[in-house]
Amino acid sequence: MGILGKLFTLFLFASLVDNIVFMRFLALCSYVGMTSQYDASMGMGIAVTFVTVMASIVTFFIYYYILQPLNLLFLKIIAFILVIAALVQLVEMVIRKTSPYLYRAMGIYLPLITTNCAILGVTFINIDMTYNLLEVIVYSLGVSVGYTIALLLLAAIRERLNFSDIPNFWKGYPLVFITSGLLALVFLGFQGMAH
Amino acid sequence: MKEIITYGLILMIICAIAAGALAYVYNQTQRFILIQKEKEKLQALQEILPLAKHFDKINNIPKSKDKLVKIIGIYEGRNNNQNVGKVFELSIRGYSSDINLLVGLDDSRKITKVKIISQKETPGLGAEITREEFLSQFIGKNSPNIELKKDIQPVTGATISSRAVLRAIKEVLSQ
Amino acid sequence: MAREFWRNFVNGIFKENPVLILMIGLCSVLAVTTNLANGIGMGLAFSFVMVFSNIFVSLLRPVTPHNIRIPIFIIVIGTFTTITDLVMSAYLPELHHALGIFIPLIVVNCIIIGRAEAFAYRNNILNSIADGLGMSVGYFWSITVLAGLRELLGSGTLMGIPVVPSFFKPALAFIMPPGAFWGIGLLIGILNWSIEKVKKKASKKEVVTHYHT
Repeated sequence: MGILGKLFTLFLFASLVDNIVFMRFLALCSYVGMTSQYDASMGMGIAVTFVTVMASIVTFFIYYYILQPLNLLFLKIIAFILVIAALVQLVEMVIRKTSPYLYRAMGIYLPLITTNCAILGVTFINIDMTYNLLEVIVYSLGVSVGYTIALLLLAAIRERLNFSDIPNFWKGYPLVFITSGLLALVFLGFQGMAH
Repeated sequence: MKEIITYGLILMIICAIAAGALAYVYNQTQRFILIQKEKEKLQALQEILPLAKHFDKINNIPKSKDKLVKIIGIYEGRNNNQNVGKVFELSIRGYSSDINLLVGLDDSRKITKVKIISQKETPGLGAEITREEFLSQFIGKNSPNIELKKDIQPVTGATISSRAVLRAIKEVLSQ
Repeated sequence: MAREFWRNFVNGIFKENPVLILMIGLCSVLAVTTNLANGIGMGLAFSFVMVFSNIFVSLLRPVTPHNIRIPIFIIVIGTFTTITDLVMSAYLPELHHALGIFIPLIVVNCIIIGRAEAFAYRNNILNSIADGLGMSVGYFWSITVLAGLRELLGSGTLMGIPVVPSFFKPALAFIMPPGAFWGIGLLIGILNWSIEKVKKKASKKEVVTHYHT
């Protein structure tokens, strides 16, 4: 398998086999919170993709070129979360000034992203798996695509569920979770296909 | 402008205090982990070579004859200045992971015990190489001419993992 | 004073239960509950960070400018998260390995940062401790009930000890990812159902007393 094949496998692994929402249980707050409307899910997906890839690259350099040489690995958690918070602020300022269209599409989701654990989670996984820079980019991209897929799937199902007749106490979150369980079962089928 | 400086100062002071506290906790826990690891290692070595009271690490490790096997360390077991055998720490590529193992050799160059320290082979198949039924087959062997299926029964469905362990044992016996 | 402490403490257990009512901090709750021991470990780690973050956020109020409060919260929470991470890796290596990435991720747990902003930043130390303890108990009972349920249904054991009669065949799906979603859906559904019942009863009583007067 050439390097391209390897990267493609990693992409499939990150997006489908090891789906960040259904298999790793990250980013659940936004998964249940942002999926009552289809459009909002799309906006959130784009915003998360953007920030995840950027954060992964920045934290890669911070870990291997600052924390590791200075023997400050115990500051990893604080350093990473502060970097992500600062990055989100910066991205928000830049796109507000440069692209009103993009700002309308993802502006309101950006402040919510700082505490989205998928992003911090991905930066930790990058380090744990000792991915190189290229793999970091592919992996974070794959994860974000997987996240967007999960959000869109649930949002589409939820729009339908609004019209179904179910007992009162199952409405809302309980049903969302039962549906997610079935979706997770589907994603379990990808297990073992790439690693 | 003045505000920014005040904010920066406050953040800096809090960060410095946090970093200091963390550095202290880090040093304390790291020391504990190191001591713990040493203890565990000694225990594992003693399990492999029960006759030995203490172990000396050999400094110049010989090159392995089998290119796929990597010798990580050799420990000489001693009991009242008497040499009672050696323990080899080796690493070899298995089916889906690197298998790390300890192999004990007594003073008559017979295998005393084999122990897998770490592996991430397929659960239920390759991971079964850690079982005593498989590993105990190597005990007492003293010549590198051992073959899979003839002398050693491989783990069902995990020939590659079993062969990897066998290669490591052969390497030890040919040293 | 004691009454106020009690009220702030009880708040997080049922009325504003962070996991089952407010639906925040779910990631760790779903991910690590494959067995009861992990659930208890995660619950304790969370409680430590929750209570101490509340205490220090409340303590630092006089020197926290409003504009940079969030970075300060993050540093405080991050410090206690790192302490938990380091201490667990040294003294409970197996549990630390099982909980994996979810220990460092306590730093972005919405419950802790949410309570720092909504409560500890606006209240004195004593009340912040009460709030932190209450939220911890609320989180702890939710995660242990879910973990117990999943271990019982998924592998037929509790804390690794077999407890079910031999005719019961454990459903493996419950310790796999789908079971986490079903488990929490079931728990929230049951909670909603009982709240609805209690409310109905209360409204009936009201009607009756109304007639009498």
